[in-house]
Amino acid sequence: MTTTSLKTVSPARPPLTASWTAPVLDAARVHRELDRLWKEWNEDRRGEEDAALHAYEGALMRASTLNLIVVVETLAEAEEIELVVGELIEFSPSRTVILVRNGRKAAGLHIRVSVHEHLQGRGRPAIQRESVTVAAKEGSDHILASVTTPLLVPELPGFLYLPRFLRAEGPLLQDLLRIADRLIVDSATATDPSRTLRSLANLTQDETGPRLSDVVWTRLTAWRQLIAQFFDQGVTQPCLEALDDVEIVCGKWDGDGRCGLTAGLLMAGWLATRLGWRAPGELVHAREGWRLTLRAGPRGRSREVLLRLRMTDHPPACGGLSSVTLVAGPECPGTFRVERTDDQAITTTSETPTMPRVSRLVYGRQMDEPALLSQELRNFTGDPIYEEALVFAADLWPEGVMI
Amino acid sequence: MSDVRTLPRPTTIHAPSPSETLTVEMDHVGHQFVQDGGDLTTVVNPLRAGLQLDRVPAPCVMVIFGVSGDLTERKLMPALYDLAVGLPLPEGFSIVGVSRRDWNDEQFRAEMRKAVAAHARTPVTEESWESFASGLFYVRGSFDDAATYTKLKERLETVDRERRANGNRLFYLATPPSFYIPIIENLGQCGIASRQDIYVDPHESWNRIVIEKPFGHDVASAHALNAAIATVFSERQIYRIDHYLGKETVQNVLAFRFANILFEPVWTRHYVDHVQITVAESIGVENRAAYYEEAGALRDMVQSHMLQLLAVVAMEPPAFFNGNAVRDEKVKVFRSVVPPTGDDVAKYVVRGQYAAGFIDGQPVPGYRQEKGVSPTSTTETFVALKLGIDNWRWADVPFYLRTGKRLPRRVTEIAIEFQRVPHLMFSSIGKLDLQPNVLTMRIQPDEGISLRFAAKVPGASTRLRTVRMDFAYGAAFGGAGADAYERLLLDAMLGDPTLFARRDEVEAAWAIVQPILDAWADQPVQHLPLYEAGTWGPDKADDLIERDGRTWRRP
Ligand SMILES: NC(=O)c1ccc[n+]([C@@H]2O[C@H](COP(=O)([O-])OP(=O)(O)OC[C@H]3O[C@@H](n4cnc5c(N)ncnc54)[C@H](OP(=O)(O)O)[C@@H]3O)[C@@H](O)[C@H]2O)c1
Repeated sequence: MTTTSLKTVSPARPPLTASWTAPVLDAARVHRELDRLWKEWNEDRRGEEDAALHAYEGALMRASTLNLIVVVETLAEAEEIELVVGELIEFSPSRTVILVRNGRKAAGLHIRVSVHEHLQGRGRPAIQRESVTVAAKEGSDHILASVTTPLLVPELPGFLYLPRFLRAEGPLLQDLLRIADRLIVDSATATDPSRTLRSLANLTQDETGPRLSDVVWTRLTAWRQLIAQFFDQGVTQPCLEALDDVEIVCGKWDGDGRCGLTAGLLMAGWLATRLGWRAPGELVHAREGWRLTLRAGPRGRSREVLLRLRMTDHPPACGGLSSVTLVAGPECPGTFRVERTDDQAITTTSETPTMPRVSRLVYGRQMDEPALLSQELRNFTGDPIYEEALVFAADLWPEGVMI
Repeated sequence: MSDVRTLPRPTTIHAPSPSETLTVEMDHVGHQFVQDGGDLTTVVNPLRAGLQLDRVPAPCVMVIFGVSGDLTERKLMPALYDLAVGLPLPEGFSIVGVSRRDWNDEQFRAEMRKAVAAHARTPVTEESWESFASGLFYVRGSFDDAATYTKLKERLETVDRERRANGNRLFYLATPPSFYIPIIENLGQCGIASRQDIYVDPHESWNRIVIEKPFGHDVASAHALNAAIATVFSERQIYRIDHYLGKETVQNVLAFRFANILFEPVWTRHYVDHVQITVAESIGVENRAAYYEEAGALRDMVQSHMLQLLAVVAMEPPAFFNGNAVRDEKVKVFRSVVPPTGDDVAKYVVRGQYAAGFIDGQPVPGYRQEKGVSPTSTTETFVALKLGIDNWRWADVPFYLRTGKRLPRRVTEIAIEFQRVPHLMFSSIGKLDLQPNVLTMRIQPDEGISLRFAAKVPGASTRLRTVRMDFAYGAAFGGAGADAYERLLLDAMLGDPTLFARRDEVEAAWAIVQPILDAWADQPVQHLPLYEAGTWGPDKADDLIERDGRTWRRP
């Protein structure tokens, strides 16, 4: 067995799997099968000569962290999710329950349970996890909703991941929202941005529902960090009050079916809500993309901020942002720009009349799905800053305009 | 909904309540708390709101004295690069290195690139290196020459101007300890550093100094060093680094103790029989012979790392996780430790030196045959000792500490051995070889916690066995956390002193080992007990604990 670098996990062995078809779900059988598979796993291990695996005598506790519930349409998508979960580095779920809405032609359920172990290298203990996939015939949402609770590890928080949010809307989602503590979506897959953002914004208004997060917002963390850094200094801080032009460039659809538009809208929502800007309406289509003049400052003495949003097919930006440029006007002039220069790096540049131009490159790799999901699983609480930005963003995009 | 949109930009500055001072640098409306030796001031950047997870210091210049040395090469530069190309370091962050080496800026950058490529976590690419290297500058000079500081001052002024560091400076002494005082005096004399007693205006520049251990070599020299530093810097500007405290798992001991109700009630003399702390290294003296010959294991390990471990296990719950609250509790523990004195030293402290032997199947030389070590050296490479803590929680509970080089494996752990049950109802079923409960916190390698307890063997008859339940930290949370130096350098730039040693803490720790140093000086030994490399130390160490009817663990 080869050791791997610390940043990656690799399967110790192929997972052990059992599957069957039944008219209804027998949760006790699922648990019995999981226990049996672990026993088998440990017996096989005894024969192995691998020091890393033998570092622990005695019972190695299966450390339990969280339940992950994922809703997908097809068995192929379920396979993809299994691969993503297998690559989660920091916060691996103890149990993943994958619900397949359109996974069978016939009535009844197809159930598959598996146990997995991933090595982390350098003699570190392996991560163990389990997954349970339940596939039903199209239109069996109520059945899928009812089988979920008995399959979860008790007492652990439940994270509901909906890679395609709108497709999952309906009674199944309503039921799952009642058992989940957190809902994770990916708004970059939305073809109807207005409807998606508005539905999400509505969910945030429900105090009793799970806290919401969007992997698109998580991708923006580095951008927000870098933009905020420009204004940490006493000399540049007043420029915030003088910003009068904001240009956000976002990537078009990438090969994985993700588009940067919602990232651009959330970025605009973030700047506006943090800086107290008001939108008099929606973005309007112009020659070079979309634009809207926002109002900033107290009513009566307000000033204008021109917001411009543009799409690009510059490859590293695909599915996310390409650049954000903030220009401050005559009262406190300055230009501040963050730009994705390639897949690996983001460059920041800032310049004011009194300060020399400073440029800097940070290592900001585009986060892939496992990296994003693993970030999401770290957070147990909602993010009020996101929720405010989302509400603003939802109203920016004209209703019915698809991308 | 519309009032969410028009959320006004926060303009008032609150004095944060104590609970907000924990680890939170920003509250959710964007007040950034700058913590400096327990004082807090606030800066308002509305865009910072909610970005509390990633802590970002103000732009600054870090001045590294001894930049051509081993510590810079293996630890500091790689950690700074990882921080800079990750997100935490601000635009314009710069490093000015000082040493005697005949380098210009370009040569300095080339050397640092090699160091970073060899030791950093993040890969080095042409672009990322260019961006980092543009903030690297070199000043050549000797530490005892005033001209070095004049050159440094000019250089810092240029860097400040060109890179907008605002006059914020972090001095780092990565030099032989004999230069600490001359460097500090010179910094004061030529006005590069200035004393800042109360830190008020967040827009005013700050300067801080990081000092590597050893902080002195006995009580008197520690006092003298602290006094000399205090003529130029106030305590709140001084960051004494003990990288053990930057380790995730040491901090996890605090989380384990103080974020769970379960363990604290039994964490007392009523249930604990004794505590064993082991810091074992399998390496020998390597290339640090010059330093080690002077220091020895007691100074090198016990006075610093091991007493820090003892403090985190034994201290009372602090009210807050912040600089002074945590350090106050540690000082209280140190002051309650009763070290052996006079003749008792020979009884309660065992030292030894490694002789030739085998490590991992390889033959290794004895200490006296190592390069740079005197063939008649009496420096100890192993110490085992028994300490008591005279307070309500720990009276009569012995703490056994042991550390050494060339022991069979590299391991650092804290084991709490509990008392036996008062009455064993199962004794009627014959001889039971039941071990008492032990809770072990492994600090390194494979971090984790394990608990040893008794369980029934399945079957119709009642048979009991001791089993171990193991929680592997890395199996719950995969991935590697930040390196200890990354964490600590960032804390120093942010002005968070929680994980650094305070003056009284260092002096109290020296006061514990001083009677032992005195007794050893009074009765010099001709022949230290030797132990074969690859064994757990001299036999006398076993006698030390077996006398009390206990045995060392075999970690
Ligand atoms: N290395 C470690 O792993 C480690 C661990 C814990 C603590 N520490 C502590 O960290 C400090 C530095 O350790 P180190 O191992 O890096 O030491 P080192 O390798 O011996 O480096 C010493 C540095 O000081 C410079 N220097 C020495 N005398 C000088 C003078 N008169 N004028 C100007 N520069 C001078 C040297 O520059 P030139 O080479 O140009 O002469 C070199 O850059 C020590 O206090 C040590 O105890 C080190």
